Amino acid sequence: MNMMQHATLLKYNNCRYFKLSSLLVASCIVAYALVETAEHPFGGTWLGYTLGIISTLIMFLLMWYGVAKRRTPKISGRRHYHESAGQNHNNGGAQSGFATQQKSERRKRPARESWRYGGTLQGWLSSHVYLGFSLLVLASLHTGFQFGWNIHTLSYILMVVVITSGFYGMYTYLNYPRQITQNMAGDTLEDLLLKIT
Amino acid sequence: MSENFKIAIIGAGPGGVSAAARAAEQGVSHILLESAPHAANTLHRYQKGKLVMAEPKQLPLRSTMSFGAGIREEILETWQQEITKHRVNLRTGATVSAISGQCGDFKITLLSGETLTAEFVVLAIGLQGNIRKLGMPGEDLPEVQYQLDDPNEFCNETIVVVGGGDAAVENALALAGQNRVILINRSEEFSNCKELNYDLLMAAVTEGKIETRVSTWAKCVENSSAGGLPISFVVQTPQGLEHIGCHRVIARLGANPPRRLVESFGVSFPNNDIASVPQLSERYESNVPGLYIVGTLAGYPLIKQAMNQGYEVVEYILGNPVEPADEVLLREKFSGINSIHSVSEGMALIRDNLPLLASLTTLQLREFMLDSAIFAPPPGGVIFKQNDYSNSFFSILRGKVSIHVEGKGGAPAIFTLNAGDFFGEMGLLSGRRRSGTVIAGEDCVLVETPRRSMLKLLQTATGVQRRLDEVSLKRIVRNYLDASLQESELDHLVQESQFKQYAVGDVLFNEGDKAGGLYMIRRGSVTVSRIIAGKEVVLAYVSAGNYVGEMALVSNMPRSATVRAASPTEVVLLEAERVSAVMLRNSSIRSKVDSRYLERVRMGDSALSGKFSGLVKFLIDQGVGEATDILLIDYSRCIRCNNCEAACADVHDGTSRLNRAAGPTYEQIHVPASCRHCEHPHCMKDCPPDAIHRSVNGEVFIGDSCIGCGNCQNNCPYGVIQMATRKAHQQRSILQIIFGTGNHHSNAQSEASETPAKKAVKCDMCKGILGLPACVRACPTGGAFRVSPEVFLGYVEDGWENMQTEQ
Repeated sequence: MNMMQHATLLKYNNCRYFKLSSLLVASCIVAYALVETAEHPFGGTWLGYTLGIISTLIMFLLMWYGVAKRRTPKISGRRHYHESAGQNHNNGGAQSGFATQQKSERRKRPARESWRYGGTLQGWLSSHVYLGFSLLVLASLHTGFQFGWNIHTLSYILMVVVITSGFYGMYTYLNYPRQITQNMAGDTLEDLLLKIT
Repeated sequence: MSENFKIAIIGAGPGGVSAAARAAEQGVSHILLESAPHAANTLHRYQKGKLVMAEPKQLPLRSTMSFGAGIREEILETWQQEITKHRVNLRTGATVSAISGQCGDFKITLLSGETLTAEFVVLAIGLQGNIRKLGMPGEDLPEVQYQLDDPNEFCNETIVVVGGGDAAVENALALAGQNRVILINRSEEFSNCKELNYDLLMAAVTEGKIETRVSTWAKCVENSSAGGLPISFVVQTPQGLEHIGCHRVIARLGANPPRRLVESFGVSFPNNDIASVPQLSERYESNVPGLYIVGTLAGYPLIKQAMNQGYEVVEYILGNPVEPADEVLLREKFSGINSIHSVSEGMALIRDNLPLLASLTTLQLREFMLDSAIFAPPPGGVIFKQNDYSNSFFSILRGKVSIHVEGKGGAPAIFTLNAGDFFGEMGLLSGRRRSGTVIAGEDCVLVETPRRSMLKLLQTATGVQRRLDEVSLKRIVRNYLDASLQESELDHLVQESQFKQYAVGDVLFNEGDKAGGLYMIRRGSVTVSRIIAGKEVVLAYVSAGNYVGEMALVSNMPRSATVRAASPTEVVLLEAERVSAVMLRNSSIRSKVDSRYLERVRMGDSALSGKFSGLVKFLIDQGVGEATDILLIDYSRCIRCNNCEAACADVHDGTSRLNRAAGPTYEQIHVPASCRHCEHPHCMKDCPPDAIHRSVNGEVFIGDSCIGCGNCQNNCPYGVIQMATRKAHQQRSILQIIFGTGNHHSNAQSEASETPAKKAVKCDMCKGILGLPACVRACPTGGAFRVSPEVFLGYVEDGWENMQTEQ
């Protein structure tokens, strides 16, 4: 059994994305604290721009989750040397693994999922959660804590609302499945509907 | 005075029609007898517009009749025209009830009492058998039918359907929408039909769409004018006689399998196995001289094979030497080997050099070679590796091979096998991974036979089975117990050993029984359980390739646990005294069995929670015991998004091969409807073109030669195979996903139902796609995972308990 499958999405791959995000957040805080800029309006300084660019890139990555969820990468590969066994049989021949084995070097199924094959959706979701959370800090640093009645603050607030909704989502993902199973008690949705009618 | 013919051909299927057409072409007096009202009855019963395939593709057709892949209607029409054109003497509605006499003077009696005589008889009756009729007055009235072609033909009628099986229930359901349907069953319950049909029937009964009469026996069918209904069906209900006025009666009572009929003609079968076929000479002649058998009954289930044989058998009867149509194929097979120049030379070499096959008839040997491949691997070439999931069987025609077995913790053992030996039988019999690596020696020529052909051979040729058992027995003992065991000790051990078979749930031995011997599991798997606090608690799952029963042997105490078959299981039982004696003499085997014993003792000591045991029991009940790789869903994680299904469809031509919501759940573990890649796949059992295979990594997949017959769908006890069109499916582009346009898999499915050529599809574990299977990859919460039974116990023990405390 792959250990990966034991982990919840928060602990995915030995908390890889928690560590990554923590590192990112910590280094941004340190940079914010240490770097002295000439003028205070922060978003416009070079550090402000850098934080903003990083945050924007993260946002694109977060949005890409929607694409990753709807598209399963299909990268064909020779995982097996018996690939043509079915076709061989059309010729009435035995499933001679031997003959085809010589042609292609045998390759076992990769023990782990690799980003090269598109990663797992669980990995995407785990990074989505942690990177989304780190965005709260990064974007706040980007503002330099200068809020006002302007379009910048509005977009900041909207972002915070979106991220907060993500917390709710995470809560439901972690808690409701177990409750659904208990409440359904082995019934399917159709069974329940039948009971109601 | 009865009519006399040179050749009487019984059964107007592809084989019979082809034989009759050839006889007609040759100007031989003949008669083609068919019990159904038309020729090619089986083909007639296919659904309308069904695409009929012409497998095996490379086999040339040799027949007076023409045939190629095409739509049912076209083929039937062509055949009808050709039957007329060649002036085939076809008599329909003629059921043969007896054949007597001998070569040159056979007397054929029809059900009508009529008799006719023939010099030669060709049996081409297939395996469908004769449809069972009601067996009562009025059974042949025009309103009484034994088949339903198109349920839409009838509407606003009162129809009585007789029977409690799937055919009857399916017919009743199909008719229920637009007719008044009364279903009559002799027994009290509809326990003979599939669960799905049962559920649908019960729903239809609750909704009032179908009326049923159970514990009801049909008495007779009468013409009646009462109530404007043409006939009256008289039945005996528990309440008394009832006259049911109706428009028509549809009786679906199954068919009489033809074996008994064939045996009554004097033809003998090699054994009582249902799958066994009569022994035939290379000219298709049975043990009754002058009585020939072709087609499915002879073990050749494909249309083209039967047609070729029909042609050939007539030529043989006429004394014309014809080269069988498959001669070309055999020549091609031998062409790769330099030292073999002709087919007959090759066949002789095989017969002389392979004692395993010595008992085969020439016809069987040809069949064997047609399915097999013959090749000369370079010295040092790896034939297969230990832990591969291949299951073909190899015979050594020349040279030698070496087998390397890496023992559990021990040094690798090496054996050499010489010409005349065979290997690969363990993977074949256990359905599990290869137990050793095989490397070719100098100047080696091997014959590789696929699993199905080998199993077929074992069923039909008892001589081969016996010989294989003798040799494999010692190998099993050596492999399971101790690879370094002396030959003499092996001989001592296997004496008086027994093969035993167990069905699921059967007990090998009970807790508290007197110790009896060592059970080597050669096929299947077992659970070890003990009664703890009045409840049966499962301690372990042991699969093929291991043994049980050593605890009582080592400790000299009664059995400490109950062992039960978790899937259909075959064991070799070694006698206790012999095992003890050998253990005394050989310290290495002693220490191996001892360490195994200690392991088991520890396992028994680690207290198992009732939950764990319950889950294991649940999974075993779901048939997981015979699985090799199964998709499970942890429902405490699953957000029910069905993304697994969507991903499956996305990478598999738009049809999902798994149904997430279907299937049972125990606590938080859900078993969705998805292929488990069984050790001995039920789907492989009856696949006419042999399209279902297992790859080295263990995936059971359906190849392109599928003819869409649906046998695998019916044979799968887990309902995970479906019929769908296989077509190129375009994955949506990224832009289409972002803007929410483009074809989604649901579109693909609706199109699928309109196209006629459907083939079987099932999970192939994303064979040929890099990375984990799509269902697992696409699960956002990591709830979907694939396991094999050996490791699910580990998962249950660690992961499950962890999960309980997590969060």
